[in-house]
Amino acid sequence: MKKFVSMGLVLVLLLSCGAAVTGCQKENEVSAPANGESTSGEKDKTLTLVRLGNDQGEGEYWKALITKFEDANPGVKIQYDEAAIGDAMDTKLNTMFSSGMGPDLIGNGILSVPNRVEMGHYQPITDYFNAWDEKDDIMPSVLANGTYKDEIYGIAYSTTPFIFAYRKDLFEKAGLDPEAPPKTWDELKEYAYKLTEKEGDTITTAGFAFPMSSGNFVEYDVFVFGNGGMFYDSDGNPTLDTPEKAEAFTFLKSFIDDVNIPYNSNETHPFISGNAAMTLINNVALAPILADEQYEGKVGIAFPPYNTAKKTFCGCNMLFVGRDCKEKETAFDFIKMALSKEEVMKRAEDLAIPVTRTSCVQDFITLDPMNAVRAECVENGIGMPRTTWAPMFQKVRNDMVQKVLYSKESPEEALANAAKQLDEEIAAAAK
Amino acid sequence: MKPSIGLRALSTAVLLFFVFVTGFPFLIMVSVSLQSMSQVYSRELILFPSNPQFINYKTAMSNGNWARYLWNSLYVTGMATILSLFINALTGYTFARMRFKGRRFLFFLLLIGMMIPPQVTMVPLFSMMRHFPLAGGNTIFGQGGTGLVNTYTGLILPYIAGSFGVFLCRQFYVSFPRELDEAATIDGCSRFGTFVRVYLPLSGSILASLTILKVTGMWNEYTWPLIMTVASSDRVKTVQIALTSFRNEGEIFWNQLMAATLVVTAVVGVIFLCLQKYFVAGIMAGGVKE
Repeated sequence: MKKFVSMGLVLVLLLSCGAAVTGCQKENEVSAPANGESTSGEKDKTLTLVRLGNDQGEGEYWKALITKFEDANPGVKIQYDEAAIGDAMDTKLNTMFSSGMGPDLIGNGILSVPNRVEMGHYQPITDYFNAWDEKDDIMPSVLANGTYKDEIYGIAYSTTPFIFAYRKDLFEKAGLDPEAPPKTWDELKEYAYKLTEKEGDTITTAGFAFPMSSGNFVEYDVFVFGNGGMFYDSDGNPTLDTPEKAEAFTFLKSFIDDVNIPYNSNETHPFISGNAAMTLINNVALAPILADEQYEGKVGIAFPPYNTAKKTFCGCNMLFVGRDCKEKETAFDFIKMALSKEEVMKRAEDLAIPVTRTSCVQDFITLDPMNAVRAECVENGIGMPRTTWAPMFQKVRNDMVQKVLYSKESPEEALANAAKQLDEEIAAAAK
Repeated sequence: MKPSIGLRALSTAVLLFFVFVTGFPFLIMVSVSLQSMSQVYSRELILFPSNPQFINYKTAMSNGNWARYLWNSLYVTGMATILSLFINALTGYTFARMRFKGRRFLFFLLLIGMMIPPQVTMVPLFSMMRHFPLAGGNTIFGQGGTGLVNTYTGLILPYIAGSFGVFLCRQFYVSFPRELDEAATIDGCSRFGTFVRVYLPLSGSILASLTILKVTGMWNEYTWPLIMTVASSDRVKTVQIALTSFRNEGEIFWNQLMAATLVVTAVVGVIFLCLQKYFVAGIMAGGVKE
């Protein structure tokens, strides 16, 4: 034991020295002193960028872009950081902003806009945007996502539209034209019945796969948007209980139980596992089946079938300038480079991210014919409500959709109850 | 009286049931780590994949600098554990054996520390680390640089003390007979000498327990490394942060994630297996201290 204790003490001493050395040394790898001098004699500027998402492919892209920006702007350094999708980003940002050391540039989603703007974490970039000679090329639907109370706060660098995916081989098997996917709600219902395969009473192939629960039930939003509905009015007030939403529910309930294999959004999607003929799916989530050799040429995509309005859901991640940024102009220069035509196309080629600039659409389609649908979905996409109550809406809407899908409440009851609950929660939060 | 065969069979069955309940998720983890993504996406439960994909381990380990991440986690865990055990034991001994003004009040403050959730202290702690004087390019006033952000010290420092460990050690040492101190004093030991030569050697059980708690806690720590490390550098990135990189916006690469998780788990498992005899010896020694 004595020997054990002595060894422990020696180890402590050695490790302490190691930690002291690593702690006190300069962070050459990750930062330069803010007041250092560049070779040109000008003061070095160090900006920090924190991005939502930490997959290796996209991370490498951003590191390369930063190097390119630093080469083009001597004396400017960008310290890159990222956080996993989920709560990690909020934890990181909240800690940094609370300590008064918020990042200069932030890559984040739509839901962050209203609350972080209200907390003063994002700075408006409207003046910089208006002075940018390429501003008119950004798709209006994409620009809308970063606009809040008539000010532009963020501009999208990546979009994730919800698209309609279907199995061409199953269409042929059911006697349907594989090049003519459904365009309207009525066609969707008709095709879903034709495509559903059963063994006894058990559905083995879903005609149309629709989740029974979800962390963010945007599949329902696609039907609401396609029926001309919105979840808030021009004043930013919630508009949950309206006829468009009830009609969307009534339509879904009229056939979904007969054609669907019930699944939750955290389970394997039946379409990805080959057990569904049609579905609504996030463009990124569709990637595995498109890459799977056994489904080569068997999967088609289209704009989601709609009733009165050609709209779908489209999420996006945007670049924002943080509250504590002292070099706003340099930060916007970085945004301009990230959103340049060249970079938008590079992301499309290397990362399969749909383009956000109108002038890039044709080049994007040249890369892959399926991209025409993706671009169409982005151009006609609507994101989550840009209101401070959006997180409450997400929870209330999820519960409401589940209640209707499981027939616990009628569409009218569910909508009225959800609208009341949302109003109460907004009022409670305001207090 | 020997238990009857029926009773033994019943207890064996109950034990086997619990082994199954605890072991089944682990079996699933091993199974998924050897499956292709199409098998993972299959609706059938596959326990023994027909064509095990060992390549998943290679792919997972090539997604980043995993040797570095493992070393970082080992270093941070080892360092924080050793330092905190020493500091906890010494502080516990001080509270248990030394008489000084304000002892009770200080101990009370320490107990309050146990009741404050770590999330509450995260912001001030981060601020302190960022403004640490003369570190990471900071001036003496803690300005101008990154402080202890993205350094081993920044990851370790907040964990080398801990109210819970001090509390446990204090309670443990309070039960020691005062004659031990008197005997040590007669033999010419100083206060510190008494602690190192008499108390520490008798602390095997408490230190072994604290080691297990500290190692598992540090190895699994996620939030603090998340805010204290910078993704552009692998320099101090720990395994728990690296494990989150097996997903993108629409997909989680479960097979690679499970393969990497198994590697991460195996490292701690091997360490514990190697050190098991020391822990057992420590607990035995502590058990017969009188």
